[in-house]
Amino acid sequence: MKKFLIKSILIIVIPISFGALFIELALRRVDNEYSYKNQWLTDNASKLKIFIAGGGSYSYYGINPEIFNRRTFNGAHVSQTLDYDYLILDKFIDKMDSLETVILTIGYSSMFKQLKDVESFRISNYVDNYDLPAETFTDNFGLFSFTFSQNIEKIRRGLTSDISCDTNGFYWSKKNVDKNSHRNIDWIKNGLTRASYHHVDELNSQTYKENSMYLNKIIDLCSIHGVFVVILTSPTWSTYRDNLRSEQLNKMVVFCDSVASNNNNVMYLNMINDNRFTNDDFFDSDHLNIIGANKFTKILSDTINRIQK
Amino acid sequence: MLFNSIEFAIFLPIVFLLYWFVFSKNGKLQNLLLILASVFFYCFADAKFFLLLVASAVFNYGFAWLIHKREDGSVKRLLFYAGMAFNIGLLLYFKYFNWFIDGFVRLFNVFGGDMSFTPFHILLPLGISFFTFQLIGYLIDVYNEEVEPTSNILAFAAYVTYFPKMLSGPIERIQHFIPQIERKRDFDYAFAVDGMRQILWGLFKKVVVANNLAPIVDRIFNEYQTMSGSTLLVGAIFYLIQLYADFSGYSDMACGVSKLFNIRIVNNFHFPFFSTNISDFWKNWHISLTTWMMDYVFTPLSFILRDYKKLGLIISIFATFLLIGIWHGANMTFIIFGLLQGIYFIPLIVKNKMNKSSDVVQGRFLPSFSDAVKMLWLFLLMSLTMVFGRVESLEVGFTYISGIASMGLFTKPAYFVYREYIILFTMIMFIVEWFQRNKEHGLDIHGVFKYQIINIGIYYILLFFILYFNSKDVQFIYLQF
Repeated sequence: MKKFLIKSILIIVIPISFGALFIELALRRVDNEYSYKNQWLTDNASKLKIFIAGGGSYSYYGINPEIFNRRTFNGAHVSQTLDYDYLILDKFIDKMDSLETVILTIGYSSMFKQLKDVESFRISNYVDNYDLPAETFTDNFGLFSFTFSQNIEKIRRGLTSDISCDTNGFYWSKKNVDKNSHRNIDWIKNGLTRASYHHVDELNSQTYKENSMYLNKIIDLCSIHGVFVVILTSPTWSTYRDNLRSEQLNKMVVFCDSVASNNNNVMYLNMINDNRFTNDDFFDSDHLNIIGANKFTKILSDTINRIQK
Repeated sequence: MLFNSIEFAIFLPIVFLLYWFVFSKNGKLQNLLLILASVFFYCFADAKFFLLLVASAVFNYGFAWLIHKREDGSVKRLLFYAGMAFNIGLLLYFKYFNWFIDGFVRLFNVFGGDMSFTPFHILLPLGISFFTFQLIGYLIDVYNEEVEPTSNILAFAAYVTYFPKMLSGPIERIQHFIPQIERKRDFDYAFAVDGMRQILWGLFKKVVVANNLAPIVDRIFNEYQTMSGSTLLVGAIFYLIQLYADFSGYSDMACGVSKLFNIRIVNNFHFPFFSTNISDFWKNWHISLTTWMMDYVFTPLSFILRDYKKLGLIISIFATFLLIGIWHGANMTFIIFGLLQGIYFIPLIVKNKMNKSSDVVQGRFLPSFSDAVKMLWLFLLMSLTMVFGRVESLEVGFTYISGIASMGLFTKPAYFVYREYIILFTMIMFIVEWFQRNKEHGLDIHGVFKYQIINIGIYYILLFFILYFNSKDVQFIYLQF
């Protein structure tokens, strides 16, 4: 028995423990888009005029800060939900002395989902890099949140400074994209798949109530600091829109409309059906590509400038 | 708690240390710990049906004694039938209730009736097919006086609940299991090390091969209507490999874990793809279920039908495989799957070759050409047949098969099936198992290499692959049964 235990410890436990420790430490030390955005906000929050506070990939891929004529930063991450939008804004808003506008994208499923339910593995990114609270013990460790190969890839990208956003926190400009090329995907199938992924069964769930609370908290926070809030629903392609459930969509739109009408500092801009966007503007059926993002941001910028004149 | 989860990686060492250091004084204490650990294991997975498991164990324990003590044949038979009715009733209710009612309603409507049926929402208790079959076998053996009921309640409870085999088998026989746990177990170094190797090999098959084949197979089966014949054929082949790597990987892990407690459980697979006929294939595939069916269905039935000679054998084999099909689930697809297996046996029965084991692969470095052709043919046949085990309806199954038998078969398969490392790891699995085919499992390498450092190197390479190619949250296929 002693021999078995000693060998198990020497051959299995010690090497694996050291390997795991090494990977966890490496994950915490290398750069990624989360650590970059946290650091940028820590250093530059006071200079910021417009903050794209969240909205997941719709904001991250769809709003280019460079287009605005005021200092703007894109603080969104892929799949980020309202609870994390609020936590990040809450962390930095006291330092954002010059902040005038907060932009928040609310999509078809935003009111009905939270990160811990859909992509909980991403929570460790917020815990490690933004020092936000963990939902579970394993959220404290990137090692347990991602697969081994994903962690190795994260370390490789960090060591080569290959982070996925540009200096303004925007996604596309770091990507090697041909601006004139059109993606060859099956748009009908993609629309169906993407819409199905966003459907929820329970519209009055606890998550919906919590997300409503988080959105109201964001608005209250902005109101206290004299900041205008622009809530957006970004453009989508018809193959996605056609597969949405009207009840779920209406509930989201009615809620955003009511929030805008109940708060003086809030505007709701619903562009989900905007026909100025053609198929060439989309990366997939519910995300804009860089051409679409620049077009969308220009419209957004003009609208905000007009209202805040 | 899956065998390839973090939770199990914490659970197992704790139980192991408690078993050998705290509860090691005598067999009773060891069994007590195994029962407690198994209860925790089961409840961690699904606590809802724990009481059902307890009720089933208590009922069968009591009935076995009642049957054993009765001298009067008719009362004894009545008790036996009552016990069987209880066990089969459980299975019928949880697995087949909706299917039977739905079938009845359809039949009623065929004859002019006008009935509708909304299926009941019945949750399937984890492992019910496995533990119920164990207990049915136990009652039959007690009734036939092949075993005496055990008086050791702790040993019996450990037999029913033993966590390595609880959720997906093997369907362990009491006469094999109880003698091992009625005595105190001492630590066996070589056995434990072999168990660790078997766990590692099972993990490799499950995590690296099966889990990485899963998304490709899922995609082909989900989008079968748009796939070419060649892609559908690749999908059928990949599914058979996935199923094998998944279930035999699970079984290797179960056996390996059990060896750490110095308890040997049946190895469910013994390199079935190296068989050259269907009979040998089934002797090496899901061994515990097949032997159970052979002992309790095929043998008695063929004895009853012995006067009909080959026809009797054919009827018996059809009945046996029909039951094997139905055991897998309440769907016509499984019935067709079972019937097809029966058809494949007919030539062997007609030629009197059913019980002749073809020891083709023994002692050769490579198979002969004719054996290789037979193995490949059998592999292809099983790949096509297993399609019915994967699809949700007969219509889809036949559409899938007819999709293969089209001109599209001669085109290049879809791009996404070419994930080189998947092909590579599948080949590694088959090559290793080919050379290890006379051993118990693929990583049974005790004494193979002169220097232990080579063994350790192999462990680390496999471990690296397991960690690197680990994809999250792919369930074991046989957990659904």
